Amino acid sequence: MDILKQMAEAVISGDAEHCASLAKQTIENNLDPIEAIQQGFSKGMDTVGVKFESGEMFLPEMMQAAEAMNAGVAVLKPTIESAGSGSLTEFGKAVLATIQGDMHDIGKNIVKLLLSTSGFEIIDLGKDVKVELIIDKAEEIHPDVIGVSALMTTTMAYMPELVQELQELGIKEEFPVMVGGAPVTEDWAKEIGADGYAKDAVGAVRIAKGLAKK
Amino acid sequence: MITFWEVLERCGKGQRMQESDYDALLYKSVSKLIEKYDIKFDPEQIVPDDDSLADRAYEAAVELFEQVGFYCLDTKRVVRFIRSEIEERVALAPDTYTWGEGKDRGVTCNRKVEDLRDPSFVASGLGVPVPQDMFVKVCQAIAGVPLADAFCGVSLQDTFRGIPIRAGRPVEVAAAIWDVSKRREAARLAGRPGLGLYAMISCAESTAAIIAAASEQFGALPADVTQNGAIAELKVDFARMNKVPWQMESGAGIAGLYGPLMGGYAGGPEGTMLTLIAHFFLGLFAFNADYHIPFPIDLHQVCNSTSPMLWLVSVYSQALARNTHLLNESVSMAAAGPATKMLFYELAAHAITATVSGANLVAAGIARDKYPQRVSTLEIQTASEVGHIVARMGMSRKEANGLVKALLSKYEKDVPDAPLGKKFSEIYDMEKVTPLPEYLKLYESIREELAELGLNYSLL
Repeated sequence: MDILKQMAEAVISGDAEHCASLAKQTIENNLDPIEAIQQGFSKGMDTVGVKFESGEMFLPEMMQAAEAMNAGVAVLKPTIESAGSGSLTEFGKAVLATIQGDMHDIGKNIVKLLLSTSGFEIIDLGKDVKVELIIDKAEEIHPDVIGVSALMTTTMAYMPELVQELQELGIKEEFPVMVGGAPVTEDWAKEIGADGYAKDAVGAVRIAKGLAKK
Repeated sequence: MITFWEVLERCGKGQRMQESDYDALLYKSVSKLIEKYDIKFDPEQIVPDDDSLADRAYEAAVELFEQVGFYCLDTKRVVRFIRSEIEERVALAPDTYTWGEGKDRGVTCNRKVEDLRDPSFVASGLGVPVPQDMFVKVCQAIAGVPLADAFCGVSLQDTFRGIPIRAGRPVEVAAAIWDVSKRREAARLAGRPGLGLYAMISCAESTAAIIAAASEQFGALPADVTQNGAIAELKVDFARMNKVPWQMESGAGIAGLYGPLMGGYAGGPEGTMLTLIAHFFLGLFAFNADYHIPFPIDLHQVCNSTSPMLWLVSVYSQALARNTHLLNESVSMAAAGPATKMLFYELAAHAITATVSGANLVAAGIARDKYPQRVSTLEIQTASEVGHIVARMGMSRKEANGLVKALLSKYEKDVPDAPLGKKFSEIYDMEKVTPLPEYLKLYESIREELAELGLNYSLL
């Protein structure tokens, strides 16, 4: 099995030690570290995402897979940075938050996990995050996408406020907003003027990549 | 007995831990306990008739709660209890609760596995968003479900007086007061003025709004209930616990609300089942709960009508029924929408599973509980009838397993793309608040189908 396939397998099995060892081999053999991440570790993580969404893997196993990938990436990172040959965060920055009043952040955390292993730098503002704080952070770091989640209908109601505030400040075009969570529907997302909606975490990655590229 | 005040003190003294470390600790603990107690989902035994499995599940859940307790988000501490404290708190918990008043009062009591007593039944549309102008009519239809011992309306959609309802804003308080008064009005219009509310308010999240609205002057009855929800998995915060002193001193009923996510931090059906039982202990300690409303959900399918979820419902219910006298009001969460055959099948499968396993019934979350106006009552009525028939027939778990599998074969493959069904206004005469003929016909045809499967409708 070639090293890229081994990397993918090591991520799928959540084997951090093996991931780190394969990353060392990549450097020793002068292989392209960016390719190793994109075609090796990330491919494994893609499979993990699909298995998670189909119920074949559970969240803790996906977390373990992400940790394994991070262990491998940590080994490759200094080489990539010293060579200045590419970026680990090709899709840029994503600001994530569970919206004001809402303490239920499992959905946001799953999206964070998959985005962080899919070429995004994540700025996680946590749960129960005020709309103003999300906007302040966006203006400070200029993310490529903002993602907000809610579990309650009464907290979901802050999502349109976020979109409206961004519009009123004239920065809506600059910071695309994607929304998700149990009570959120695609129709509602369109109605409030959100730029993207996904019903699950794998879909959120696809939407985020699309929005970040714009 | 460990009091609520002692629990509060422990929230400030327990082991300090990062939330992510607590999530990892939970998974590690459930994984070991599943192995130690040999607990395994069997797709052939959706309603297992294995007493030993139920007892092992209970033992494992007690051990789990000893190990992980619950997590206080405000203090970032793990609040633990030793076995004798858990056993004592469980032993001193209520075994009955009475909703409502007068001729409309309803009683829920602890049931046993294969119990011949009727399950208590709550008709609910909790979570389904409905606009203000339809709210009373939908609640009236729900309160009118004949076998309901208590009810809960729907959720107010988006706005009140044209202003978006947002948690923590003044409009939330106003909407909550309106919500309570209109539910009581709906009960009156249904001819059941004293019917209890098993969850008083659904448009409010903040403690301030709930306490403001849960008042007799706005229509609440003394035994109407407010809910305290745990956060998945096994987490609480002071915002939720803040209601408890008011609930204790006012005498308001307290329901613990638990929605563990299968596929989430607790892993698969086995780990999520143990975690759900542990949530009952959390509810006793952190919320002083009188009764318990579990609504386990498949994280991806957002329902509990699949094989693994029904297995989970059966085993946790049997475990609690055999080992405690706690009040277990099991909530069905369906994937399909109103006026579809699939919704009838899903709710019937849950009613059979839960009733024979020793639970009481709450029906239902419909169409994954998120689409506006996707609420209806004849399916809820069917769940109530099925539950009563199952108990009165003295159905065994083995018989129930065969029936549930027959129902699953009719709908389970369609769960990922379940039909959304129709809106309430499309299946009801909105003037008379009665089901339209076509919808009634569907209900009657399902009754015949269920009778052919072996349910004896003459026992109603």
